[in-house]
Amino acid sequence: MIMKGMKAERQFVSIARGLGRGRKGAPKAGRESVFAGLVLDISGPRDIINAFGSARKEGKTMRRIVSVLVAALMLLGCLPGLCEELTQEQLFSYYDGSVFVGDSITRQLRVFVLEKQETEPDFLKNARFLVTQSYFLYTASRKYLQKNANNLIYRGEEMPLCEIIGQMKPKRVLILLGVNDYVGEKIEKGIGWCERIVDLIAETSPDTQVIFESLTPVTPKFCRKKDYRAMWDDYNAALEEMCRRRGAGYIDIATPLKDADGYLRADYSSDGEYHLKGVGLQLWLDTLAAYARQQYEAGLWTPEASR
Amino acid sequence: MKKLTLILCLGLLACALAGCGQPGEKAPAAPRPLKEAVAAAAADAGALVAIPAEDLEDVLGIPPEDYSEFVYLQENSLSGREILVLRAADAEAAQRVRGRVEAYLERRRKETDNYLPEAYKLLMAAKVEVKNHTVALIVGEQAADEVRKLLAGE
Repeated sequence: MIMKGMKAERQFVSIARGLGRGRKGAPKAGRESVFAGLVLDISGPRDIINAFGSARKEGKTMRRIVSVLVAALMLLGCLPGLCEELTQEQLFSYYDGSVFVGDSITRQLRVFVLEKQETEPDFLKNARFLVTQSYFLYTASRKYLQKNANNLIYRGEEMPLCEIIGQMKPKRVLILLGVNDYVGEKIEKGIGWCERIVDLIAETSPDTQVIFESLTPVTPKFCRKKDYRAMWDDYNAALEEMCRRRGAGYIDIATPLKDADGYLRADYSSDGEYHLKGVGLQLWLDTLAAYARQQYEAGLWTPEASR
Repeated sequence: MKKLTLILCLGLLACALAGCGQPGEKAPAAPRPLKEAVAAAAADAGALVAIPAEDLEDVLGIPPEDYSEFVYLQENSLSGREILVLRAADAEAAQRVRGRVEAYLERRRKETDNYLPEAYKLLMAAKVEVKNHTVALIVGEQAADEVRKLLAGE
C-alpha cells in the first residue's frame, strides 16, 4: 500500500483520499493540507499530526504511519451510520442455532418467546431452550450427573449440561444461572463453576461459543433479610472479567432491568422477588438484540454468515 | 348353461352386496381433534401457551412416531398449570408414552418441591390417565374434572 521512496506526506494524503473521507475543495495551506479529506473527531487529527510529526523526527515514518492508519480505520469502523442498519429479524438471526440454558427465569423467557411466535412464527424459531426450575449453577458445572439434584432433561433423560451440549453441538450456548446458588455470596466459587463450564463445553463441543448472561436484579422483598444488590453486582463484574479473560461472551441483561436504586423494577417483576413478567422479558430480548448489533458493528458477525 | 351361469352371477352379486355389513351397524366415527376436545374440557385452554413438538422429543423423550396427535399447553407463570394430551400411534406406543409422561410428572414434582409450593401441590394431585390410546396429564385446580370430560370422548 505504501510505496517505497514516496514522501511520507504524499503517501498519507493519497491514502486518506483513497478512503473517500472528508470535505471537498482545495486543502488549506500548512498542516491542514496533509490531512485533506480525512474526517475524524477533533482529537483524531491532532493525534495523527503528533504521530506523524514524531515519526518524521525519529525516522520511523513508515511504521508509525501504518500504525496510525490502522487505528484510524478502526475508529472509522466504529462510527455510527457506517454499518448497515439491521432489521429485528436479522439481529435475532444471531441466535439461530443457539441454546439458552437456565432455570425458572429462562423458562419464563422460553414461554414468552412461544407467545411471541403465535403472531411472529419465525421469531427465534431456530433457538432451543434447556431449562429446569431450580437448576443450580453448581450442577451445571459438574461433568457427571448429580443424582439428587434437579438436572437438565434431554430426550427424556437427565444429563449433565456438558453432555447435552456435546450431543446438540449448538453454535452458541447462552447461560443464565446462579440465583438458586445465591452465587453473590460465594463469588469466587461461582466464577470457578463458570470457568469449569467453559472448560467442559470446550471438551464436548469445541466449536460452541459460550456466552454468560448476567444475574438479573432482585426486588426489595427478596432483599428483606440481606441486601443482595451489591453482591449481585460484584458477581456480575467478576463474571464479565472472567468472560473477557477466557474468551467467552458476556451479556449484561441486568442494567436495563434495574430501577434508580439498583433493584429489579417493580413493574418488571411477576412475583415481587426475581422472576420477570412480559415487560421485563421483552427488555431482555431487546438486550439480546443490542448484543447482536454490537457483534455486527465490531465486525464479529454478519447476518448472512450465521445462516 | 347360460341360465345357470346367470343365476350364479346374480347370486354372487347378492352376496357381495349383502355380506359386508350388518343391519344398523355404522362405521366408527373419526375421533374428535384433540385441540377441540381440550378446548371443550378446559375453559382456559385458549389462554395457555402452546408448546411445540420439539419439546416432546427434547424434554420428554417422546419421538414423533409414537403419536398421531398432541396438545401441549403451559401457563407463563410459576403456577404449574399445564395440559399434555397425546393420541398414541398404537397400544404399545401408548404404554411408552405413558411411561415418559409419568417420568416427566415425577421430575416436575421434584423441581418444585420446596421451591414453588403451590405448583408442587397441584403436581402432587395430578396423575397420568390413559383411555384407549389417549394419554393425558392435566395439572390445575380443576384437573380431575377436566381429564374426565376429555377422556369421555375418547
